[in-house]
Amino acid sequence: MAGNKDIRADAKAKFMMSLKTRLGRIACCLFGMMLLLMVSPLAQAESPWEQPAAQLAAQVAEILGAGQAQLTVNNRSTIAAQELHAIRWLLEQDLRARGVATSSAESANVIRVTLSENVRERLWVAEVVEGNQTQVAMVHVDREPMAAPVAEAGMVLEKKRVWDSLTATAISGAPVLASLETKAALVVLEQDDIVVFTMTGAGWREDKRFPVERQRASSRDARGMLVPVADGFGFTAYTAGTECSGSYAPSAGNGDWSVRCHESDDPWPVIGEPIANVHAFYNASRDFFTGVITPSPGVDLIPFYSMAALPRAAAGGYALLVSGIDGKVQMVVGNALKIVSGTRDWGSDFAAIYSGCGAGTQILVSGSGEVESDHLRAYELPAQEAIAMSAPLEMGGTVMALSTAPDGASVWAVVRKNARDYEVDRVTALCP
Amino acid sequence: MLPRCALNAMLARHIVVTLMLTAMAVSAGARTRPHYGGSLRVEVEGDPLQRSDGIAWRLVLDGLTRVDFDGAVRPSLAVRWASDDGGHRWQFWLRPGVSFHNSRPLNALAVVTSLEESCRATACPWTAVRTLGLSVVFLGDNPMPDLPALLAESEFLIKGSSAQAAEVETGGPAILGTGPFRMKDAKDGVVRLEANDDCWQGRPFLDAIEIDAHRPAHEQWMDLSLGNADLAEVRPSDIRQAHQQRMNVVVSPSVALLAVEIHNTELAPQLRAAMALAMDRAALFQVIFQKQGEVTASLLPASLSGYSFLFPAERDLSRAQALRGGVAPPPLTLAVDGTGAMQLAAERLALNLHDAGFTVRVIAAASNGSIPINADLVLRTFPVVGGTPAEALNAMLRRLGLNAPVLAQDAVASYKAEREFLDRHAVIPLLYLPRAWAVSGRLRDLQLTAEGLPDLANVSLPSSSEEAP
Repeated sequence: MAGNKDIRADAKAKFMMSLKTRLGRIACCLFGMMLLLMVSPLAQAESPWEQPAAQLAAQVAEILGAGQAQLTVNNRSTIAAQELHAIRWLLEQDLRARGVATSSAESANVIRVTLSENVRERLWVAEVVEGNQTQVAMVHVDREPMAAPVAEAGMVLEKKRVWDSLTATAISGAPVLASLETKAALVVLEQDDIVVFTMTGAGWREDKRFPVERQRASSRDARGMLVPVADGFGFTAYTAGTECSGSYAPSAGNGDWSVRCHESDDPWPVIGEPIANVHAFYNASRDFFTGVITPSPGVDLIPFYSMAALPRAAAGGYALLVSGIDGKVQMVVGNALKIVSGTRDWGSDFAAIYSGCGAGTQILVSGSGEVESDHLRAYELPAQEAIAMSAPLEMGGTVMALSTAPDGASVWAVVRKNARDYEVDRVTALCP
Repeated sequence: MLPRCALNAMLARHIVVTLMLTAMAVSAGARTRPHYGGSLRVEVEGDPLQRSDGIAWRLVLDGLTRVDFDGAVRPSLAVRWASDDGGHRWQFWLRPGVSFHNSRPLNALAVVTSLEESCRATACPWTAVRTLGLSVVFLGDNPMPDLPALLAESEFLIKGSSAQAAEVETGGPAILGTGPFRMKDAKDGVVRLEANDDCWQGRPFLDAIEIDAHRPAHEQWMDLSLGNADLAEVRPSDIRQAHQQRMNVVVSPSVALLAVEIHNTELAPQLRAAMALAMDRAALFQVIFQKQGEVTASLLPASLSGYSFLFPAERDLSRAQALRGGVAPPPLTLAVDGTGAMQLAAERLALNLHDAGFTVRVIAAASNGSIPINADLVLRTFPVVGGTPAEALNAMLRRLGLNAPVLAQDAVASYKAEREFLDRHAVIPLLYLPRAWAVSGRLRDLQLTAEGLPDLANVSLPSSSEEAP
């Protein structure tokens, strides 16, 4: 019996021990899970605040040395309020790791952290108060890029960023006039340069830069055009008073680019095959075409900013749509010039897109010429009236140039996001 | 230290100002690309050809560099630059193919001549400037870390030599530059500018600008409302009233610092500190300047530095009195560089100082605008320009007579330099003020420069058919 009792007691003790161990393990697991849940937002992706918090904590610890301090965190920046908890937590952890224990209770030492910013960067400032003495520590924090909104509804326009001046190259600050993707490269026409980008694992990277030598000053609202040549590799660039030919000779390495420029007042190919072959003379000291085009449409056109072709079986194959410098949109049908209605919201830039949706062809139109955030919208013109076919697509900047891509199914848009940041987008239309 | 709510209100105001500016740019957005042609009429209170902030100055002249809207230094007549010898030597390469308005080419000799003339009127940080081919070399005894930013300032814009300048119809010499507009004539208080077709930046959209000088504010507003003017000045203290009158007002961010300079070097440091504590910035802001701008005790606004909150701006009369102790300060004079709200602000400050035991008499500027040289204190505004905090601070310190540049280009170094300077209490910052302009509905794409001036070279007017109802 006694032996049984001992065995039972031993078993009970073992069970209790095992239970304690298990409970301990469960508690440990629960604590670990809680900890994981608490820090999961930080653990899932590296927080952008980790580095500045560590740097600031290091500077504070250097001033204060090991000890206790009261920590306050004030936000004078555009950092969202819900981020503050994580930032405070990071600061506390980093300070503790350096021997500074923080509390919210009154203390002889106070660390006043202010999350501030100026137009260029964020600035985190710590005022370390020890008695009558206050010392200041600061760290810089880069601003995170903001995402551009994308429109949704109806016949949907979709934009895909092809190139961004801030990430693809050293910031030249020069206006971007046009862009074209050939079989060999992405070509960007800047006001004073033609820049060739080649695709790398990290995206488009600047390969070569060719100056556009010109004899006269460019206009203030400079414009340009890039047209592919028949081999699909080369291009022709048109800017005010200058025409450049770019050719590519494939080789075992990266291939070889050459660009030759010459003064030229030849007309620009504003509409290409297979729809039509229309050239227009550009006013090199202004920002518009003179109104003289070849072949002649049979009517006198006023100077215009943009031209597009719409298929019209009844009008000899196509009708020309013209955005005049007087703000009116007109259509050349046959030998007649007709005003298009419903274009009050149109900017001066448009391009045709052969989407296959609806009537098959739409006109993508910029909302205005010079606003903070421009948009593109698709229209059809069944007669002489413009009918919106899509919701506006926010472009995140001012649309500076639009051109129909060589495949006809998309439009290239040059967008100025700010004075130095240009973006090239490919815009396509998705049928409803 | 200002209460948090007041700081939030300041921030909110700053955002509102920025939004107003943005909204203005949006509302002025062109429905078409900018249209070429048309003539613009501008009215201003002061002299449009005044060097520091004259509206015509930057339309006619270019600098070797320019400061962008976001404060970054950009190429202008110089296409690139480089420094060596620890910033003691700088070389600026000139843009080829640029001509003055009289078609003479811009060359290194013309630039050197212009800069040497500038140095006769203002202090220059370099000891020599020389030509070297199509470039200009600056040599200095001290490092010149911010020379590119400095050369964008009005004082260093490049003028054709007086010998080259043609006589305008008034008989006076024309200002000969390379800018988007050339001087046509200046008579009967009206400066007429016409487009420079050969401008290296491209011809401006406008054909001509007519600037009516020395026009009182109420007459400017009247002309604007009657359609006789397209652009009129609005003093910071009148911005609220202009809004109430439903005028289209474009307001810049803070571009000027209102401050008191202490010229009396015999005042003890604790008396200077007491004066700084006695001044009621909040009252100036709320009453005199009608809540425009920002209260400050620092040289750089928060939008530039990010650390201005480290300089407390609250009035502390009891501490001011304690600092003064039993000392009876000598009677002081306070001169004012300006009229209207500036005069009212000076009188208010004199009352503030009286509360702290100082006797201050306000004296007006002379009829020609000059400030009495023997004034103990001077209330004036200083332009706030520059991209990085260090550049902006160096420009400000130079204007305040200190030629010891902040060498490191970060906020920490700027803060230390600013703290060191302000602890001397030679200057008491009070408010940052914006510049504002009332505009007619005809103007398109109006933006303000970093100095708060309208960028008229990029403004356009609608075509006649667009103007039609």
